[in-house]
Amino acid sequence: MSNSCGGLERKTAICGLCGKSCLMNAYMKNGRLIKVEGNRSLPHASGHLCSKGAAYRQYLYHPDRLLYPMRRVGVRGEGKFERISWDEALNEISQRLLKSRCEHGAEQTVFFAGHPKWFRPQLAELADKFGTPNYGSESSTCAYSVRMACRSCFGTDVSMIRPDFVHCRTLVIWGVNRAYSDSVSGTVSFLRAVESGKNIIVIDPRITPEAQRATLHLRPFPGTDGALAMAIANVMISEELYDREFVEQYTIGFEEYKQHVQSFSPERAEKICGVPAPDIERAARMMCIERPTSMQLSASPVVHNVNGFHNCRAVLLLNALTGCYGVKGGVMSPIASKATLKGTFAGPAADRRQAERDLSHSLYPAWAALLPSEAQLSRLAEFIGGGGDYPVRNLVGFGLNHHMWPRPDLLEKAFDQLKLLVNVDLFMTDTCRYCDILLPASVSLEREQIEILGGDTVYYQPRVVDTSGEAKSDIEIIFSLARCLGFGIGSPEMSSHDDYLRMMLEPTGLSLDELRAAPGGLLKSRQKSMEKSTEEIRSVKTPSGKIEFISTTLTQCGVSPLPEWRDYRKELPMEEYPFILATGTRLPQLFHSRTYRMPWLAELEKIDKVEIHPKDASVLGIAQGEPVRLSTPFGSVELWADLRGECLPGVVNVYHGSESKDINYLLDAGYLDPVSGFPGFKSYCCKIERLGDAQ
Amino acid sequence: MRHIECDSEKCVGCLACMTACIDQHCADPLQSTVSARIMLKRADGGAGYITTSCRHCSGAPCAEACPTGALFVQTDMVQVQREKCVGCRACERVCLFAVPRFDISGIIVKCDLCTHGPAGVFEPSCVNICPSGALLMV
Repeated sequence: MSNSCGGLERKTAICGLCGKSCLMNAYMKNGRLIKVEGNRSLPHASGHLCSKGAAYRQYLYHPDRLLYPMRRVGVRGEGKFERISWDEALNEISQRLLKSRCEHGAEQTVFFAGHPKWFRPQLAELADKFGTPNYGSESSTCAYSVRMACRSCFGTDVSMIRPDFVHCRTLVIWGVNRAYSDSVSGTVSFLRAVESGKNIIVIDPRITPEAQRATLHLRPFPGTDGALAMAIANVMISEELYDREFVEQYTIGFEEYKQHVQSFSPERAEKICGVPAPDIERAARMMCIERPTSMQLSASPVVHNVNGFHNCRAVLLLNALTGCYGVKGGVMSPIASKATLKGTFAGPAADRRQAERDLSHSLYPAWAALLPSEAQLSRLAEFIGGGGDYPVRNLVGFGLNHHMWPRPDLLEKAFDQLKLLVNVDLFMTDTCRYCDILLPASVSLEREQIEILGGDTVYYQPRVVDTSGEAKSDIEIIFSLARCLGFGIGSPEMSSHDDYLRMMLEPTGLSLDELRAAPGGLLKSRQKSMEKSTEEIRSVKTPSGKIEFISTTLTQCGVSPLPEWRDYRKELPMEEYPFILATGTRLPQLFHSRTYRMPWLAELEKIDKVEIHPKDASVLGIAQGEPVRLSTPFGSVELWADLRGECLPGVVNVYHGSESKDINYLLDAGYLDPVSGFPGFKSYCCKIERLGDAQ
Repeated sequence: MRHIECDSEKCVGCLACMTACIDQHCADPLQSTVSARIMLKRADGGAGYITTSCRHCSGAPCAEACPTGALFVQTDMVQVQREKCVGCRACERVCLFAVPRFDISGIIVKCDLCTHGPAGVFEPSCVNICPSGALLMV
């Protein structure tokens, strides 16, 4: 939709900077974007943006944008490239990949999806048709351990479903600060829940904006969520608060679980987690008595621990005890009939052929069984370095960023082993400097987009601005590369962004032409998905057909079928490094590595900082703003101390993804959850010294 | 006079107001600059959020102190003409709320209630963007 406003043209758009789909107004003059604001005219628009979306202009016109395909001419990491044509780039990539496949087999090529995520189903298809099972994504360290835990309990991805903010009486927010990670819808829906008087239980080591407004705030040490959840379960069971009828009818393994959690008394959990026993009892009572109870779980903090998968299972199983699974106001509420799009990231992922041949299959059998759609690639540096069952010769990334893993230096070294390293990206990132060929991707406003607004309106956004340089939509790059490799994507085969949009629209019954011609690009969907009732949701797709306290799949994979408890603090050198180091704690102006390069955001405050509780700082003689040295067994970094009352004493917080002061260099590459392969990002160890005192 | 109030009961510290302020006022998207809004942190390091900007005081001491006329009272607010600012920071010394800010060239950046900007006059951008509804023009 566009109209004129004070000499400007106002267009409506989907932001997409972080992967959410907030609606914006884009004010244009002579084809250039000159201001953005939240949109209020589209159906269900909130009218707001977050700090990152507000800086869209700087993101769009950033001088680091990749504008042309390029070939490396310097040494890896040096950042010297020459401009080449799209034909040259795609031909060279495809010829080298085909030759490699012919000589060494397809599996020695890895396809990787970083951020964004929208084109993942088609990239997975590209990898599969090329013949390699080695397709993976950044979800190897984010979300998929939660997904595994969900599937092992409920046979489906409970965590992907928004909690029922409107109909719940109690809302449990476990380790997520959506005010900073999903500022627009997160803040709006949360504040509505507060205003309507819900009981809100926040479980988070930090005093988040949500925690400040909570009825009850439990502050466990990072990585102790499992012990806390099992103590809550202990109270629910010993006080007979749990939903006996639900448990009998819909679950298996309850008696064993009852025995299992008996040793997790609130008093024992208090010692482990630092949460007062009476608060644990209160939480258990509130969740069972003040029902229905809904739960918001994050994609990562709980599972960013070496026992994260089991901890997450313990948290999820509370939803079986409350009996609120599949009910209005609970978890996985009955789903109303709604419009859907095909082939999106949110849709079902296709399984891979020859998944058993992927590099991580034998290392993570539970991942392999529960997530057949992709490989676990958090040990990529090891695989490229020759530590896998076979070598990796080629790596083709879309938004690949090696700073996302612990010890990026291992990957920097491993990249030298590669015959071909390709990255499709928006910016000249540090990873790009190591690549052989770079391909420029377009940002959201440079491509046409389709979204469902509310339950049934389909919204088409034309291209808002001209494409920068020769950038192309990721999907067009995937289609072109597939053609050069000798096959097509989709059925019928897609060759353009238009074909992609037509495919997306299939379930709506709308044609792309009529949607383009519709006023404002808005039409009601002609078809909708079926609604899903409580009974249908409760017919879970686990091997037993029941919600599994004891997981059949985990038993088959040789993993403990009941949530285990393991205290990482007993395994780390905490005497020398007494602080728990939690990395990636959200700051509202940053989105992983993406916005560090944008001064409008990066300069809102000095962000190369470690957040520490004032009491801890006082013991160390550290004042606000003072430079400090943070050290782990793997090295040290100079940061400035931000004394924050939000921190839990004993825990320090550092944001991740900075190219200049990347905390990931100081983590242990082998500090991984043995079940999921996830790094222990939220619970490593460190020491802090005043810079003057540091040796 | 008119100014923007922040309700600390609602503010979640998301900083959207600060970037929206920059987007409204900065013509060059490549330029590094500062926001006229400020996030205040509690001196004791305690949790809680509030942002602030020019209060547009009656009898504005900053306008009184400004030697070049870069700051002046007009239409119920303290206006700014950045091209007249010489960066002497006399305003900063008299401001009771510590809100004058200075860009990398040392030139004042302050709230003009979005009456200026490359895209023209808008509803105050900070109010418009605020997801929590904490900001209001009063």
